[in-house]
Amino acid sequence: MTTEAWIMLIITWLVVGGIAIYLVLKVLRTPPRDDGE
Amino acid sequence: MTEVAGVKKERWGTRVGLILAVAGNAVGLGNFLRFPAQAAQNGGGAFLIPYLISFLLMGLPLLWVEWAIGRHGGQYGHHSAPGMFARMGKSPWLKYVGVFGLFTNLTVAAYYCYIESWTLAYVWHSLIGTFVTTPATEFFPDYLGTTDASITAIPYEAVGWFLGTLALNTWILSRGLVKGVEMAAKIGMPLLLLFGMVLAIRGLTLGPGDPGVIESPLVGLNFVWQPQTSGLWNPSTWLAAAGQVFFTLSVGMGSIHCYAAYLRERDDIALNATTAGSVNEFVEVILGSAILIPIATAYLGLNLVQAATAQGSGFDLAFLTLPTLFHQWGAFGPIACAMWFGLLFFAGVTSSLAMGQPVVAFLQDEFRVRRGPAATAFGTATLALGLMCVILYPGGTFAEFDFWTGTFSLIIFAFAEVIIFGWVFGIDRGWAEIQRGADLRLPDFFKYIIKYVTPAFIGVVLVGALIKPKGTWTDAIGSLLAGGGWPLDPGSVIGRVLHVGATESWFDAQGGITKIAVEDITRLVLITVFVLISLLVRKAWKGRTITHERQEGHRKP
Repeated sequence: MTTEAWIMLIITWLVVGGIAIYLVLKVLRTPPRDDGE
Repeated sequence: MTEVAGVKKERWGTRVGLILAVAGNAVGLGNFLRFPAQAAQNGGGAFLIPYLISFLLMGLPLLWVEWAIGRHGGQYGHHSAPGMFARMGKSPWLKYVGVFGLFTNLTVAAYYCYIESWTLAYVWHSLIGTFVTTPATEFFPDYLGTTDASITAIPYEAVGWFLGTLALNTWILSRGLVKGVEMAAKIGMPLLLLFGMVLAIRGLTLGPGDPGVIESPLVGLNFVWQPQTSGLWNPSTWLAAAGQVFFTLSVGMGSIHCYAAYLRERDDIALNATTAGSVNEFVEVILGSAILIPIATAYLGLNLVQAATAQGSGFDLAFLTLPTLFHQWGAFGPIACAMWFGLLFFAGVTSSLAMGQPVVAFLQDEFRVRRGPAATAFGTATLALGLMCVILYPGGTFAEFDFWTGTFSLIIFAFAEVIIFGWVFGIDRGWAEIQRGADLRLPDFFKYIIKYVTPAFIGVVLVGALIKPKGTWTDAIGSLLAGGGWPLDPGSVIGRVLHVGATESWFDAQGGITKIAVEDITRLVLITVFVLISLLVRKAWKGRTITHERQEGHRKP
């Protein structure tokens, strides 16, 4: 692997993976809304 | 399930179940077979720049729009697109835009379930060791019935697996939202992620000491990720990136609308939609790039892999090459092969269920058909259309379905829905709909992106599909300016309609029908299906007065 390819891969995987994991954790931590139904 | 006014109304069992179901809808075979080949052929790592920009300006806004349209329609008791669109404005024609949301799902399911059945068949043949003795390159043409020159075929084994797959889909749909669709997503998605991670780790750690390995899998990874920035100035790269984002998210189908319709009025959609989209991107960008091409490169070498993915698809590698390569992995080989096709099966079944649910919901909501018979009706219609794809596969029916319903129809529907959302329903009202109950604060500038930028983006993709040139766009524009005309690609929409490049007519010299005839007949069948669904919508709305009062639990006549 060239350095440029590694840089592209690491940045993209960190951004895409990081956002996905952050959002999944946010969903899991958000309490269910109780609107009386 | 809740009960209001004596009528049971289905709801999602859990929020995680909903997100897994929507992510499962988006995660399909394209995440593993199409994305890595598209990236490798369109600038490598540089492809990710137009890809992520397209995701931000087109993909995410479309996801929010579809969730908002769905939840809004659900409050009036509509869980399929015709009813949802009827509620977005006063024009009686809006409901017919929603016909796309049924037509696309039904017709895509017809051929998609066929591909899904291949993956199930491959799981079975992996486990019984078929590929140890028979190379997949011999097995697959026999399986599809494409080994002779005829344009029809009755491949009995393939038909059997297709029937089994359809029966499974129908059974799951008939179990209902929570016990069927949500349960399937809760089982399928974790297994898909597990299988994907196991295969990616094993594949990327192949070394020179492993039997059969001729090159490092990192050479394949490099093929996908090496940035070629010159590609950024090529319009084809941007069109390919926008197209990939479009199809990977399953927008423009009507299935996301349907799933969102089972939410309550104040349930979040901003966080749910963004999370489901991000999970799909995780699977596509990380797992999708780390399995197929690196493993194939390790055993075949880069040149063969480059040739196999030159058309922008890893389909041949997946079905013709990988089964044989896995058997280099010793005792783990058949299991790894079954995991690969199991992963593709779970990606497929969670998507095909999302195609069935809107059709089932349409029959339930608008014709008061019970869930079981509605699911059976979906299975029967899919079988009828699917058998056409199976028997006329060598004649090109499958490819016609894929293009007109799985590609062109999606773009048309997405273009129409984002215009209706921003300009007919009204962007202020629409933005308020997206923000209601939001657990994630979305930047306000997206309001303007949805109104102006997203329609323009899809418009460019649409024009690109309509007049895609043969060769590069730069050469085509040069040819036009020099008075040489526009060199239409036979694969463009207009090129296909006009059969550009075809030399034969409907009948050959012996009086037999040709592929051209099969293609035209397939198009007539698809138009007929669209008209029949439109007539059903017309019948459902006949004599009905649309009021715009929200209600919970029961449908207004």
